[in-house]
Amino acid sequence: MPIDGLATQLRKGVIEYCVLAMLKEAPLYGGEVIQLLRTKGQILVSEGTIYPLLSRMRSEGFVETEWRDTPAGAPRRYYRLSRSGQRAVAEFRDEWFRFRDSVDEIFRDGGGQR
Amino acid sequence: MTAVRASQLIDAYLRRLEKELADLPTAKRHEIVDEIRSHIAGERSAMVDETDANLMNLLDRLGDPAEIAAEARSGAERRRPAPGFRRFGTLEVLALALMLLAWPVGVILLWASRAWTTREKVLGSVLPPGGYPGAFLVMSTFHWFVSMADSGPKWGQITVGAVLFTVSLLLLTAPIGMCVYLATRMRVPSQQQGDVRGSSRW
Repeated sequence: MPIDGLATQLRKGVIEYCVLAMLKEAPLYGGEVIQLLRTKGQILVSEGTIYPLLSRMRSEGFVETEWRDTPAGAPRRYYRLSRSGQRAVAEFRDEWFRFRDSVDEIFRDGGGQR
Repeated sequence: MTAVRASQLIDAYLRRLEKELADLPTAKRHEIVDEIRSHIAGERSAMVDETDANLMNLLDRLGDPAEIAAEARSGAERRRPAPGFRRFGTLEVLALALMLLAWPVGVILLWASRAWTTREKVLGSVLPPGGYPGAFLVMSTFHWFVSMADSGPKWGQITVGAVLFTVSLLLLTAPIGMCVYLATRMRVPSQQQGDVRGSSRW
């Protein structure tokens, strides 16, 4: 498997939880989510994919949306974390730390090749 | 510098996106395209120097429309088998009501619907024997057992009474129980997903 495909696979499972986690602080609109992700390195490659992702999380009830007026230009759709979204983030967080620790440990031991 | 091809570039991108999303439900497609359109507008207004190259970079960062569509579709596929995707159709409501009141018609409708698996249909056809008409028919034969037991000893009468009471209770609760069970198992595929999933459920 090319390393590029590997990164895509890894990203896929975690990105929606990263977005949910970012919404914990305050409601954001799509452009802000993208800007924030840009500052976090190579998590998001095709920025446009964030919109179907947000839309899906809305259908799944993890986020709620509301339109807000902007000083200049059209209203923006803001995404806010719902109750079930908060639960999902908390569950992912626990799961992720356990998973990360296990992987770290395996690699610290020399990748299990001893 | 200005972007001479600005609207041409953006329109072409959005058109491609629309095309890639064509197989999605209309509302979903509009939501995604509208969000991306306003994203582009927002980025443009923040652009210090709007040139064709800068716009092309913006579209590049957004990514290939096919990739965006793939993301949109991957969600739809993942949601497909999830529980909670239930919808009442007239056929299903009629099937359940008639299962209780006019059993043969109810069973025909049960088999006509695509909301249940074959296993659920078999269970639904067999377990409430004839719905309530059937239950009362069975119960009406009970006097025969009672008259048989009357000539026997006292403990025989008590046993027969207890058994008949239990059987009556089962006969009265089974049809409604089966209806509740079928109602919870009901899955009506939506129009565009029907063909894909229907085949595996028959």
